[in-house]
Amino acid sequence: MFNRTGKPKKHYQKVANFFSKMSKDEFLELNNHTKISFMYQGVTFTVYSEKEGIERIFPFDLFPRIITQREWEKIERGLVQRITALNLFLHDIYHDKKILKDRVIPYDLVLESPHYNKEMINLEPPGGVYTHVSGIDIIRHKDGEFYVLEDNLRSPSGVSYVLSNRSTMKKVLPNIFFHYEVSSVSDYPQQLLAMLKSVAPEGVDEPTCVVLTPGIYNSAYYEHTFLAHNMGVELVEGRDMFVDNNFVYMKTIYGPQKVDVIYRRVDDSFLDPLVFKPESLLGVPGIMAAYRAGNVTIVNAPGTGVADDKAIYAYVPQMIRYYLKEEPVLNNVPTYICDIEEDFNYVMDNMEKLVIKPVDESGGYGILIGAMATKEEIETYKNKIRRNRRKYIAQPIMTLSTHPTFIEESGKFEPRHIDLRTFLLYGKDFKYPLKGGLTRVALKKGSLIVNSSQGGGSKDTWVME
Amino acid sequence: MRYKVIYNTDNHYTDVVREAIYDLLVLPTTDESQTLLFYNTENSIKEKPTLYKNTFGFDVFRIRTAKPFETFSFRMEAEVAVKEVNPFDFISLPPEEERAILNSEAFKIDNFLFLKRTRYTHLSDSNKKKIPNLDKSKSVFNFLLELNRYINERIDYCTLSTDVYTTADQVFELGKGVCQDYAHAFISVARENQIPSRYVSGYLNPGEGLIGSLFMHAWVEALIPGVGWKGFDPTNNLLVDENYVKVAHGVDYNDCAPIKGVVKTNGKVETQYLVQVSQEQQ
Repeated sequence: MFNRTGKPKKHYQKVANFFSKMSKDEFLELNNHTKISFMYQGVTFTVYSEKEGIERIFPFDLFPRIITQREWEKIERGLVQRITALNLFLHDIYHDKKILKDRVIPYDLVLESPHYNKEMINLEPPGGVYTHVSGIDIIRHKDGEFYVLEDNLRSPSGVSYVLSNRSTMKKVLPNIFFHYEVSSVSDYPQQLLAMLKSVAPEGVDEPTCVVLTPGIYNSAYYEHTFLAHNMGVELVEGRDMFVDNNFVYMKTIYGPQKVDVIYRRVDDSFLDPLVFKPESLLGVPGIMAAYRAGNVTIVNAPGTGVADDKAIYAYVPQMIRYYLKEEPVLNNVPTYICDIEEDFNYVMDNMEKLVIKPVDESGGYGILIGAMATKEEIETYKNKIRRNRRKYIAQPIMTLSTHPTFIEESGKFEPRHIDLRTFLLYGKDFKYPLKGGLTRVALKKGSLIVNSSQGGGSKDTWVME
Repeated sequence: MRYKVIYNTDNHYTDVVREAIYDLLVLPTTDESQTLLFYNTENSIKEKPTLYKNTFGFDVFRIRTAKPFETFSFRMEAEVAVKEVNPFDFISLPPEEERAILNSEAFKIDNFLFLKRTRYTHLSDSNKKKIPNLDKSKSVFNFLLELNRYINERIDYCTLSTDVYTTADQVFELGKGVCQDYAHAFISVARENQIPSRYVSGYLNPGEGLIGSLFMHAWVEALIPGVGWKGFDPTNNLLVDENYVKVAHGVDYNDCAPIKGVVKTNGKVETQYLVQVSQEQQ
């Protein structure tokens, strides 16, 4: 938010003035109001690592992040471009597999992926869309450029916090908020509903849409209830629905009601016990056949996970060039694929400068940060890569930009690392990038980890009109 | 050859079932070597089945009910005509051409589903070392013939020694199993040699004294470059001919299970199957 001379940038001046005039006690009072507001709204998340499900308030920082119209315009163009290419990719790999036959992406990387879902082969999803709701994570590097860090294409969470953050902000700091022309985020649920309707099965004029949740023990259950409530649609669990004659119905007190579009927040492998995990109780037996028959839409489509794996991520710029004949608007973090000779040699010679990740693990498992590893660790890791080059990618260490954040222990604003989760809705002839997003903050000093489960917080994100 | 096929299953539950959905993959398919002429089904819960196509395009009967019951019986009668063929009547490409096709990327991409190791067909490193390998001079067909015999000799037919979860690895350790285990073992070796192969379920002509004709049977189809899919029955060490009636294929047993269901009940189930195949006069 500061320019090179250390003064707040133009668009931050009013916010900076406002906070600088405030005494510490005044600020603390405001901060308490905020917490109470979240508590009353019931905005919580569940931490799985605790023995019993513990709901917590998602730490919220009152100092907003501001993104100028010019910056945003580029992000938005980049997101739409990326999702367009990713959807074409998903269609291609479940049909003709041209991009694999043309050797743009190694075929085994895609086809051997555990997320490649054979039930999707030759299936035409209603509306032609695979990844309808995406949450693409973006960082700003010290070079001032935005980089895509990760594509979340299956069931990205967090949009309910964007909306709750905004409504809290308006309540707690109305005088400062209304000095700015901030793009609204409040129509997201209505846009989500419009998107769901756009991909309804053919011939359905007034589609019935529902949100399918795995239930109250899911960490994002709050969000599921929030979205269903704000769209004015039913929140259902698998046991509330059944399949008959290849159509999906929900049980209501008035009798069965046909369901046309399911915004599901249940993982692929739990969707249909007749096809995937037979012991699963979260899904709807028979739903995949109804889907294949074109009688119901599943949002996001099963099998999209193959496009958000770490190794496939590296190829998104090539996908954009291949399918759209365009240059990518947003950069990827440079990624070295150890299976490629040139990249492999570079990685072997520059381990100290790199972060090395296995392609098929998540949650940070198996990662080596070269700069922090001992000589022995590096040697051992090099051998692991040599044994299975396909399994590893490497990236330079990216410096996430920092943003002033109120730190309770010191009672001061201090710089903390941030990223941005964006949300894009993509339907049939329908594109809606949410003008805003979830700015996540690493509350621990120096930490680059912004995840809520690891003590991260969030900020309201203002995109200027 | 014309057959009348009867598939019968009785499922008795110790506690009342409140809601149930069943998928039955038992109807003979129609393809270049056989034609389904007629079929009829009955079931004890008096729900009309719907027919839908699975991932591989095979017809599945689906029956659902929300009315309470304790017994679910399903009976299918079908008539099917199977063409008489000589399974040796085809011309192979020279081994080096076959090899070039097997190794080509486009071939691997087109057939990856039947080359991919699954839970059932994955082999441990120690088993990989023991299995036969396709050597350069041999035609794919001759290799598969040898493999058919190898699996047949390596495994003793023995009911109740394995179950529906037994993997190819376990079958090689045990040295015994049923038709489904022979099929998985064959598939695992073929795929290890980069030859696409798929699991097939169906019925057998009972007049020939073949093992497996009292139940639904399982065999394998393997893709011979330049020729097409050929059927191998390692349980009987035979090639597939007019004595075989195909229902479906898939990557492994899981794609071909004759009955799958999700049943809401607190009790246990006792299941019985009966398969009757009779040859009909033309």
